[in-house]
Amino acid sequence: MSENNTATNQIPTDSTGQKFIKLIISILPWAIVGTLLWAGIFVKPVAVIEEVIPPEINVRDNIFGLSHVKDDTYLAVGNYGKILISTDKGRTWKDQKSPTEAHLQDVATWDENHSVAVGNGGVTLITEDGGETWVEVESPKSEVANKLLRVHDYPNGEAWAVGEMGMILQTNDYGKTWTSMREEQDVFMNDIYRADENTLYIAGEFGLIFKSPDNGVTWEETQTDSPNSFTSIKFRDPQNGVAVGLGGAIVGTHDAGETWKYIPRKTSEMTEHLMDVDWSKAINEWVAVGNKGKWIRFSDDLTEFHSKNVSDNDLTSHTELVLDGYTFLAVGQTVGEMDLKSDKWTLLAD
Amino acid sequence: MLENFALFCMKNRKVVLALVLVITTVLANFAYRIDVKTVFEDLQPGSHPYIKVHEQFKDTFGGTSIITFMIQSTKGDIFQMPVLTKIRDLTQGLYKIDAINEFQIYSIAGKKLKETRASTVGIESFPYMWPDLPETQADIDYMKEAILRSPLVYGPFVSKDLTATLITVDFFDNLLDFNLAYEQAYELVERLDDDTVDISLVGNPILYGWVDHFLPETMNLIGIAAAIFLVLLFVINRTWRGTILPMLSGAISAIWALGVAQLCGIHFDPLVVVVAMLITARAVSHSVQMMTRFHEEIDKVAGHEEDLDSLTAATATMKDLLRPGLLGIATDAGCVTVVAISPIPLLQKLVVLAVVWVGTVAISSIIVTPVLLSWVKDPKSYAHPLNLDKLLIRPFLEFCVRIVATKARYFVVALAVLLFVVSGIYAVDLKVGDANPGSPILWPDGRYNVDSAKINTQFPGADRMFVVVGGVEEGAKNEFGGKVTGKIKDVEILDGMLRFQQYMEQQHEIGATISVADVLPSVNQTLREGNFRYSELGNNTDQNGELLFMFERAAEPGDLLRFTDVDINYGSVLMYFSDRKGVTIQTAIARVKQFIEDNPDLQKLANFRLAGGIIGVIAAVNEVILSGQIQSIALALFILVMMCIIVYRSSIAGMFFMVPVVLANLVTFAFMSWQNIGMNINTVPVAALGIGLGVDYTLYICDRIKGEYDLGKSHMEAISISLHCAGRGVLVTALVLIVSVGVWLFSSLRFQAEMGMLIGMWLTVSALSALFLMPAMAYMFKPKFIFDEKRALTSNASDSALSDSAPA
Repeated sequence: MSENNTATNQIPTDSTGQKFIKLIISILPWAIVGTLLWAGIFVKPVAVIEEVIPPEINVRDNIFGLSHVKDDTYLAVGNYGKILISTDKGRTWKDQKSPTEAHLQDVATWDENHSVAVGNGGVTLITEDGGETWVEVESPKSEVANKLLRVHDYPNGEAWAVGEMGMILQTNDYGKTWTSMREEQDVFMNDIYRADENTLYIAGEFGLIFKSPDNGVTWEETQTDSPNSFTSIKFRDPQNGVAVGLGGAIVGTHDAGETWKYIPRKTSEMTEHLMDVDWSKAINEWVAVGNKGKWIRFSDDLTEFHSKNVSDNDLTSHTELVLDGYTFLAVGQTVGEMDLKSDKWTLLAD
Repeated sequence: MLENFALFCMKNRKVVLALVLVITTVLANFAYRIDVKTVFEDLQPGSHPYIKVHEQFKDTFGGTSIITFMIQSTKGDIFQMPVLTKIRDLTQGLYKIDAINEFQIYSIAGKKLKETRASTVGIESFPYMWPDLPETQADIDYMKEAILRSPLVYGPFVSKDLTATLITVDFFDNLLDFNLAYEQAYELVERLDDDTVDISLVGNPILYGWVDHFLPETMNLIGIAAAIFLVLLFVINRTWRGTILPMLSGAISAIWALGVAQLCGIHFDPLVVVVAMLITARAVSHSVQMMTRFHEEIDKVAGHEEDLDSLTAATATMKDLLRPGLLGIATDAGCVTVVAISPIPLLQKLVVLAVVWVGTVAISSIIVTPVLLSWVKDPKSYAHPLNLDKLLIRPFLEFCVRIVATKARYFVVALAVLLFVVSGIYAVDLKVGDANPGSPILWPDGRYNVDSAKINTQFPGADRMFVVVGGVEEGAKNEFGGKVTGKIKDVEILDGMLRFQQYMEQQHEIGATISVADVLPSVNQTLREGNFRYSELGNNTDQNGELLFMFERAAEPGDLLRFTDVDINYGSVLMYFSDRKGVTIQTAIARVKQFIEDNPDLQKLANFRLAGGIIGVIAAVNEVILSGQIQSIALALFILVMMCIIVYRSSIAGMFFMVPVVLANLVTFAFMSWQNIGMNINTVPVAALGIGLGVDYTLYICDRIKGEYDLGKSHMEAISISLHCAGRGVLVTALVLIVSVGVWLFSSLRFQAEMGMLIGMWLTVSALSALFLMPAMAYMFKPKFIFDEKRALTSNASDSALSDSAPA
């Protein structure tokens, strides 16, 4: 009884508080039960997902073209309209916004602002701000096929591009307008090079080399001893040049393209396709890269050949190289740097 | 009503016993014949869209039963005669394995992997070294070059460093016997593995073969656990009946459950042994409660001239313990039923097994034990003099009582709150799916996981998922009224597949992807004299059709089936995964969905569909488990709460009994996330059972407190009596079970060891909360459903005395 009394006495002092607590206590269990039921029926947890940061160069990216801008700055282009800039000699790359989805095959750079890229479907892109923004420009097209394979730049905004259907294009205004320099023909033009102020050479298919002594007005055709297509042609001076190509084909001239000496595979020991060649002043030799991780250096007189693998376990294909002193950068399935002093290959991007 | 039932059983105890005996004998016959095996289809949630895609395409694009051999040269690359001979021998040895699908053998020594070359007549293809090995070094060099040229072989089947090659083979699922495949595959490995090569072997049939391989060990462990259990019970209970009866009730319920399962056509998966152990443990635990109470009833009248006879004591025991016993069993069964919501057949079957099993505990422990006890002749005799009750158990229980009676109870509650918070934080990180690479069923240093790691370092990964692309409506006709064919030759679709592959490969764990779209660029490149600048798709659909035609003409019938269906309306994008971690798979699935969302036009045309292969199936299982995770826990808790509310007619009772359950669950989940144990198909049932099981101990203790308080005892007296009697049962069973569960830590199956550890934790946490936390909370809050003032017959002066004596 005494307990009851105390309880009764206390009621007036904090009855609202007690009522509130009682209310809470009676509601709480049912609220929890309700929540459990609700959670059981409606709550669906969200799966934990890791963020994937795509690399600038993916494993599947093929980088076909490379050009040196200045110092450690390089431009590279590849499949699906990929355009990349590196300011640290290929260590890191930055993907640029591209106006095309077409595969880009080659890029050429006049100066730190002006560059041009060409590729499948005859697409031609130019930049005037060092590669930040690119625009597609008009260029002559064939009805049949239009893949442009190489482009090379020469002073004062001149550039030459070649491709399928015998396409030879020239520009003199940093790529804004292009003119076709030869009639359509079902022959592949794989590379072009200006040897002096009048003379141009073109690497063609099935051992063909084209020469123009008059800045592209007329073209002479030479069938070399090589049965294979050439992919790249270079001259170290107006007299001396080489062309390399599929199946390890190598031909060289010492008389401004009058005669071409064919080097059989047995001599060069190069079994794979060669895709690009250039003259290294640093080591006084020609340097070429190609498929399956192969590369080669050979002497100007075409007597000494050193066929090598870039490394034991990198068997990827490379399409272009850019020499820089005792090193060169090569692009293709992978991007890497070769040290010509030690023959050491550094993989820069997969 | 319960009282009447107890009296009825005791009155007709002979009939009851005879009935149980007969049923047990009959069911034992069936239980004996139960199938012990793993059926992989049972793991698949059949209604899930991924599984539907998987089932539709598994025979063409690769099922879940693929096994992978890796032959690694111990010195130099694989292009040397001794190694090539091994590769050839292993490939030929595959034909001797039962149930293999010989059209699905991929090996450089087989017919399916070929070099494609351009020649004057177009494209031709040749197997690398089938049927004969190369003869000269020049032949070997030529083959090496050919392999290097093929992106479909160099990388996926020959490692980038050329030191290893993969040989994969699929099985006909309906003919596959895991054990036989396991034995024959390892026999082949053992025969060829020597100084020249190192052979690794993985694949689902092998994995389940390993589980089966350890079945005898599992049986031994059960035996050892049972032996430890018996010895401990004998030492503690000091009577033969105290040892035999709990064991007997465990055995009876096991026989009934397995017998019924066999009758229902349910097989027994070796991986659910742990669940079976858990339920048996409950049977034993209920039985020990009966035993303890029986002895108390006998001891109550000690000192009187006439001892209480066994029948009366047994009747009283049964009468009083029916309610907490049955409630405990009902919550166990109710909570585990929730798991059946999951669409995974294995779990549904397991629920049937578990519910029957738990249900039989009601008969084997709650009825059979007291009935048998009623025949005890001399209830006060003991088999040995070592009295652990006096030495250990009673002092410990006395300690429990003192904790509740003193201010230490606040410390206990505070500790529990702290545990809640800390384990709550950890538990949030609990992962769905496997948390580690390799198989979580086996230890990381087990041969299977070592082999799996080796393969994943050399190759893009041994586990596959395929996404199906394309497809036409059933019976669709082309413009000429014929069958629609070649749907996926569309250049947009092929291009979309390549972009999709590029997107997926950005995830680090996806080592590589392959589709028909990959074949075409290499055919194109071959046609263009191998010029790498032409490693691309054809410009239009016609060109791609032509490229595909050239590939097909050079290939044998069926060679393209790895990538497309016969009519080329469906294509697959096959992805190789380097691990099966839950988060890896979830990320991949989310990225597939993201790609589809980002490319609505492509999706309209190409209709990308998830997902088949082993990873696709695991993804479906993980999604089902993830979506059911909160569902099953919340619903299990809901069932528990409602049962308690109904039985005790108090909403507070529901809240009260939730405490030990939630605590035990949180601690276990926290432990799982700390130890990187993922929530997967194997752990889900254990977790759901845990919810029901966590409450049993508390039910016995609180029911006894209530019973004593209703008889007129003070709060503290009621708690003290309950802890000394029901508490003894809790302590003894928990102790015995934790020790015998510890045996599993030595299992060669990592999964069993981990589950043993988890169950041990569950038992520990729920026993400790029943002994310390719950009495303390009962005393602090004095909930009405335990301490009902109206029902207490007399108020006892000693109550206040005890409370006062307790330092306030």
